[in-house]
Amino acid sequence: MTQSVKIKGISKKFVDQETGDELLALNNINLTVHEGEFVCILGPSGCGKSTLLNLIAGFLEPSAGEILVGPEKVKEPGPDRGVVFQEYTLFPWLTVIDNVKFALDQQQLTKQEKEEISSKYLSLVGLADFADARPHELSGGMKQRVAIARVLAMDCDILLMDEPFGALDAQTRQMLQKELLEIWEQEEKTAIFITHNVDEAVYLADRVVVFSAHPGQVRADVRINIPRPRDRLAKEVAEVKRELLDYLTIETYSA
Amino acid sequence: MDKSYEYQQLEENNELGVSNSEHSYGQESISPQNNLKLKKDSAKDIFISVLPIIGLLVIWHLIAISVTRSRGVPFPTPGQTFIRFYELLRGDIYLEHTVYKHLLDSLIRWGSGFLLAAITGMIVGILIGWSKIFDRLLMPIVYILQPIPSLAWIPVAILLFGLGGQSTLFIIFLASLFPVIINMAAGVKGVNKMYIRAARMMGLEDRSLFFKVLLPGSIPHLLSGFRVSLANGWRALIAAEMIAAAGSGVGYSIFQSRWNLDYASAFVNIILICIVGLIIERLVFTTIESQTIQKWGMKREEI
Ligand SMILES: Nc1ncnc2c1ncn2[C@@H]1O[C@H](COP(=O)(O)OP(=O)(O)OP(=O)(O)O)[C@@H](O)[C@H]1O
Ligand SMILES: [Mg+2]
Repeated sequence: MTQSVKIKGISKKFVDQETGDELLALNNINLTVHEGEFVCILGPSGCGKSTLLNLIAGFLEPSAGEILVGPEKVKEPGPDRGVVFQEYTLFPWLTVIDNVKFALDQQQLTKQEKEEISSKYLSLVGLADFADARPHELSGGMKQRVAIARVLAMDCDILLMDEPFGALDAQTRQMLQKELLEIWEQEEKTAIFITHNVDEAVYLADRVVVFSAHPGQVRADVRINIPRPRDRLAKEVAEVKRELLDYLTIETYSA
Repeated sequence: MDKSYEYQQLEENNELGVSNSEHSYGQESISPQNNLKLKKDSAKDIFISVLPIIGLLVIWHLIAISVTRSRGVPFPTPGQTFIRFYELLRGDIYLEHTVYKHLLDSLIRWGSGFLLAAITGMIVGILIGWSKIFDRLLMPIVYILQPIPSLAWIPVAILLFGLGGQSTLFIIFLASLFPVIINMAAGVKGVNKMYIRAARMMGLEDRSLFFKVLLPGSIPHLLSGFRVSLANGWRALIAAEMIAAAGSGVGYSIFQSRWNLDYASAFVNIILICIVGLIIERLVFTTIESQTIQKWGMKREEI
């Protein structure tokens, strides 16, 4: 089942353990991501994007406010929210297929079912042939595909992605964006995708939320009604890009 | 590739064991390609790798001859030693037992001491790595006890257990214990925080997180701990057998040659010690590593 994500008055303060200095990473964020929506969060480095994602994922606790996934308040990490990290986080001691299966091991499934589900998603990301490889034998793009297969296999309601393609070259990145959209359309999941890349945001999102830095705040919320698949060079795509860039540049000057 | 490197590593397995952990990772560079290359010029390679052994034998022989001449003591030559080696392997009795019995007794003492140390060390190391409280309570004790050379424990061992097998076991245990604790703790602490987050995200609670992530994630460290631990234990065993009157064993055999003047047998036992060390290092550890961290591509920075 898909779920909505409601972010209500979220602030996050980091306190330096040694100096006692406080840093307000996020200030009073209000944001609702509707069921099945694909939202990109766009903002300059250090504006608290990862912090927000970690709060939704349950890795961090907010200093103020609350986050609701469906009707439930977020308290800790859980398999209803699948995270694709910016870093490669496949377990090196497991084969590719076992990495995908890993998430299923926590669920009440028969061996047969686990086998089927993990093979299905591995094929979906085009890596069926690499089932028995080890993560270190894969390229960066392949690793992120496995990471995506892993969260899809556990059938999460919400997909949380923190610059998952950030470390990849432009071509691989575009290919994976396309694949991700195709999968998202099939699977009907709520997706929150973090990026600092305007092209990526415009290509992927139903809505782009632009953040400003110091402290992180919502600066703009832009709906993109261009039908998919989008032509990266089309005029209306360029227009949205221009709009988003304007928000980002104002931000850079004022900061 | 790089045989000299491994000898050097054996030497560097010191009592402390921490500094060593960096070395063991270097071996990952032995890739299939290198193995292929090895086979191609294997004749030359074999020659080069036996060269140090030949050199050692020549030096030994020269020393034996000159010492025998100048001091008038029967310093065994390599030839004499190998004849004795053959006799002992044939089953001749030395100090009431065959050489096999001596070796087996030593191996059992070593193995059980190590096993005890590995289990205790892993448990303590996990506690230290897992919980800040245990870290602060136990780590100081480890740091205080760890620099004590294992033989310095002999009086304690004798007071506790008297002369005999238990004392030997106790000393081997202590000699093997600290490298395991320290490396296990470092391993658990060093597991990539992102692996833990990924596991939590997939719904793992403490127990399965521990068995499925922390334990496999700390295997590289643990293996280097075991390596040092085994080497320390072996060394301590030989020494402990000499002192704690074991009645059998390789170390005991060497030490008794003082009385029966059968130096050739002592030398045979020294060679046995070398062989056992090499087998453990080369066969056992290299195999374990190639089946685990090497296969997983777990270089140090990825842990
Ligand atoms: N655990 C932490 N402790 C202290 N400060 C932190 C911590 N995590 C993040 N911060 C600070 O909070 C701010 C926001 O960090 P965050 O990682 O969320 O930024 P970001 O938008 O994801 O940046 P990037 O695009 O570079 O990943 C930064 O100033 C950062 O230094
Ligand atoms: Mg970030």
